[in-house]
Amino acid sequence: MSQNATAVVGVGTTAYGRLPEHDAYSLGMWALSNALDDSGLGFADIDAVIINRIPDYQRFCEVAGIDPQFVTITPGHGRFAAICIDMACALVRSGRCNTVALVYGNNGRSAGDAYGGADDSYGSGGNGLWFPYGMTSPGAFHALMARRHMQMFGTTPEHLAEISITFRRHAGLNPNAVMRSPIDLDGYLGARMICEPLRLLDYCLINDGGVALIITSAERARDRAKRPIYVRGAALQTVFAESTFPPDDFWYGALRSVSQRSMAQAGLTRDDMSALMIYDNFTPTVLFSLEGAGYCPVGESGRFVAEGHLGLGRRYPANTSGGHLSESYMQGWALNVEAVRQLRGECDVRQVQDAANVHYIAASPVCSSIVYSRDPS
Amino acid sequence: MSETGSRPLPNIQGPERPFWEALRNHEVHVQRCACGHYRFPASRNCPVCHSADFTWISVEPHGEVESYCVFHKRYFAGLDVPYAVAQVRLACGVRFFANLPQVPISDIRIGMKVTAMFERVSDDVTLLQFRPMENAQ
Repeated sequence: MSQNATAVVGVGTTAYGRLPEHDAYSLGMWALSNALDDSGLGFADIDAVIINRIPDYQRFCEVAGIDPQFVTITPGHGRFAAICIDMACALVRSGRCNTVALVYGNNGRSAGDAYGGADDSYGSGGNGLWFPYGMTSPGAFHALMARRHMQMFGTTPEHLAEISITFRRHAGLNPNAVMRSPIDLDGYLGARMICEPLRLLDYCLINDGGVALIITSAERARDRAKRPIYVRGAALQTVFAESTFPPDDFWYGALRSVSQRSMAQAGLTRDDMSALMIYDNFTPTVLFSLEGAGYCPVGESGRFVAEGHLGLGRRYPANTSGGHLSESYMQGWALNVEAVRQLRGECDVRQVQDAANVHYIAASPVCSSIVYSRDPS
Repeated sequence: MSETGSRPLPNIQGPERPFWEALRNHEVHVQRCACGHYRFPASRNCPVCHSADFTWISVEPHGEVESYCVFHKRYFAGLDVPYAVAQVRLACGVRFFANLPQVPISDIRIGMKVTAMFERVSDDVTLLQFRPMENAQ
């Protein structure tokens, strides 16, 4: 084990869905309390706090009754889950902090958040310039990418359906998932178009919920209540040039870079992975991630998923919680928690047998890759 | 933005003001850096060489549809669905989102050669739209 290895020692989640009696602070506190209970640590042990999506770090720490030595707050963009986790590991590795609490709270559903229209701020500075043409929403941005992928590689709606159907099947095995009723191809194809070629079931679910993780050094992690799960590798790569428009390469260059760097840090390869957690804001993002990270050749992801590889019991079970598409859109955070729970063996009927390593991948203008392991080396 | 019920209108007084003014004269103006890089939307400095030395310049309004999507969900009260948005790249390399008002949605194709058309939506605002090259006058 590396001298300054880091580990997740606590994870906490709330219920997901429509929770109007909770604001983002309350959801964050709910998740953090669960994460601390899970780790056997207390509020007084936290010496660093990284807040995501909750509006105000001061108010959060006030209600948490903590005065950490380090605090920061990050925008409520899904790409920030990995950025925050990477930052937490860097704080611990450097010796700057001992125990980092990462806290995410999202009351978007009850607050009526919409990802499109006059308040849309997605993309590079937002889409205001393009509103007169009706261009708005992250969904449309991904629809443009999906259309090009279909044109270039022969990807079909049936390929996208396979992702949606598979993750819904997994959600059926997760009591905390919001959408658990099985769907089939007819159900997928029959769902209304939102932004063609994407249909309703290609979109993730805006919900209320909270997630928290506790990260500390591998050395400190040894004394904790549960088996520590090691963060063996983590890498980020931004793709901001001309990012007003979708990337010509579907983020492949960045995805390749982060996958290679994080795997090299971990001393592992794709062949060592027991499961994948893929940022699934929209179904096409899963395709771009599989190709960019090298799980299949560029252009082959549609056929790859159609062969069923992402299902439980198959080679690369993915988003075993149901993911953003069917568990809840917790902006990457809940997928990282699912990685930890799989590696601890806590996933009951959706448990991946003998899970040893899990790869989290996010394709976005900040591409990220995290390799979690049951073993320290 | 516009009042509820009509098409959203752009802020024509912002950094892209020369672009909107040129459209009223049926020209497409974008920024060209001293280094030769063309850019839009507007920025003070060139993202390639970082120079602040630029001019707004008229460019050949021909390009190609790189991709498109079709909105079925209504996000703006003033825009009837379904409508298509195309991602168009001009020969100079600059890209725009726009509509293809003369093209039935089912006829839109990636790789379509298009040229600018100018859609006057108010006394002050003319939008940059595109139509197929074949129909160019």
